[in-house]
Amino acid sequence: MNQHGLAKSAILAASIAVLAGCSSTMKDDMATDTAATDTATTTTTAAADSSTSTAGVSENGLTAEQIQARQDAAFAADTLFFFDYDQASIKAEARAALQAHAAYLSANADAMVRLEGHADERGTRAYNVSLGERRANAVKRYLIVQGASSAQVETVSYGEERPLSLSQTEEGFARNRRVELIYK
Amino acid sequence: MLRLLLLFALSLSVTARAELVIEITEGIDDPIPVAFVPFQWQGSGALPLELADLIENNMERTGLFEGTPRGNMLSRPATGADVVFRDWRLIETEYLVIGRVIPNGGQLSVEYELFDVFGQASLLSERIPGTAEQLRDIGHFISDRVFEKLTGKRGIFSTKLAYITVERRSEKDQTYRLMYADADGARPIPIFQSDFPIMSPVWSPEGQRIAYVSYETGRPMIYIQELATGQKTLVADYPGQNTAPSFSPDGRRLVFSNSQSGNAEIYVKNLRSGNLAQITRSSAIDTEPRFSPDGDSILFTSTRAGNPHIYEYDVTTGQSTRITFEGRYNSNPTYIPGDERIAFVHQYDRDYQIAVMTPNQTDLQVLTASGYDENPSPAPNGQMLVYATSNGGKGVLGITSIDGRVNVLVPSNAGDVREPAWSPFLN
Repeated sequence: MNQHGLAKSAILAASIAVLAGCSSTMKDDMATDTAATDTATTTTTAAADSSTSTAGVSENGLTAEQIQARQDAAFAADTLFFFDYDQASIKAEARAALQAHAAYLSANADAMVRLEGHADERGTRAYNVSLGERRANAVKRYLIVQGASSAQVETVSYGEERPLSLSQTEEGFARNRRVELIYK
Repeated sequence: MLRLLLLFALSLSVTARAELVIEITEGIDDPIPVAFVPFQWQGSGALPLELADLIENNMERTGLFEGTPRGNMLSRPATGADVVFRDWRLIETEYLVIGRVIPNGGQLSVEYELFDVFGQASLLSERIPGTAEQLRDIGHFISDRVFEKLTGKRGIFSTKLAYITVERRSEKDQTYRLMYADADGARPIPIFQSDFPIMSPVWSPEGQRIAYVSYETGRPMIYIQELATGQKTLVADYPGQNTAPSFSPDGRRLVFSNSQSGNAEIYVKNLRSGNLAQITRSSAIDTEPRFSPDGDSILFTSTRAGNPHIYEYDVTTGQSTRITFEGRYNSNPTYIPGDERIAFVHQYDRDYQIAVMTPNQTDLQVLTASGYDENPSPAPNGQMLVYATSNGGKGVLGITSIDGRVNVLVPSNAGDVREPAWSPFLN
């Protein structure tokens, strides 16, 4: 048990080291964000087109190529959406990527996503589950408004149980206040 | 995928090194000096436990007492006949605890006696039969008796703690354990283990069950586990998140937060009939409910005024009243047994601290100072609170006296420690 425990602490220490490295990869993430925004911008037009052309976006109204294009755009789009402290409002920079996901979901009724809401470690644990849920619900509502159906979107909140960063800094907290979008 | 493992109370795979080790970080100015003389052992071989050490540690941890250094002792009596009060007056010891352990067939019996040195009187004298394996329980029992004799308050040394430990390998690769340990952190036993989050353990009022939240199905649901058998029953799997359970004082109902309406609201479930009653209706977060000891009201956290604040629900009228106004964030409330005040997490500026306050009064008092303090859980005698705090970036437990003057840290070798729940009196 002791050696076991020590081994696990070693692994823990290693994972902390890896996570500590994460803060230096923030730049990479931001680069990804930009890329995602770019692709999303192109798909936004596609999404806007479909929503204007047909009131209820019908899957039949799209060609296989169009659906594929939306899937490509959605799969390339960012899946991490960040929030301000104790807030559940979607930031402006998240919209393009969310529109890409919504466009794909509306084009493909079989596609399902799980939205996992998270909070930073500040504040109490049970409260943070509710806060993470509000964030996941905010993303869900946005996807639905943009054309996804509620049956395609499942939400769960992990509160502060699954931080991406273990750093007790504003940067660390900011990374942990998020919703993760996961295709099922 | 679900690698769940139930471990029952007899799993003794936990070694002393994994135990919580209590370190006193603050003490009161003037603790009462008490001499705890090593107990005489009249059998052969060595006893597994030195009772005087255990009792001394227990008493010192309350911050109210200070053990006389053994090196200062002028005599080491084991029975009342051997006590020379002058020896203890000379070293300014106010009280004296002596004892001996006597073999009794395959078992043993422990005799102890408490003396008032300046009054030259015996205050307490008892003989407790048992086995070598029960010495730790006997030591806690003696601590309870001595504490009660000297303070007039019931001791909490024979009570238990439940808490959560987490070993984290990565964001989604973590092992959660629901632990059960003595009030001093000794003898920790995992009673439930999961690769998915376990949260918010609370004791039933009779101390035989623990309710908690588990994510083992992929979303938070509430379970009640019987301590004696390890049997676990799903009690809240309503749509949405099922969180923050707490028992009613009669143990028949469970109050918790659920978001089936699309928003976190407080519900009360009758555990016998299965009836579910929604007691809050707001567009805000309502969570962290706790019944009052008389069952007449329920404290909870709500964001209905914007930031989280504490509200009290009147069971008779169905009305909720806001009771915290100071600071920007108040949450995680709990009543304190035998005390008019409530304890909660208070953020005034930046730090999250444990505070106590009388509802409708302005006597808010902050008890802790680490900056990341949460989850206050009062001892059943209302004299101390255990809470979750952070030390060197790691979750640990802290114990503070209810006046905030004594604060001990309970570091652990077992990953992150969090969400402590102090048991009720168990005997």
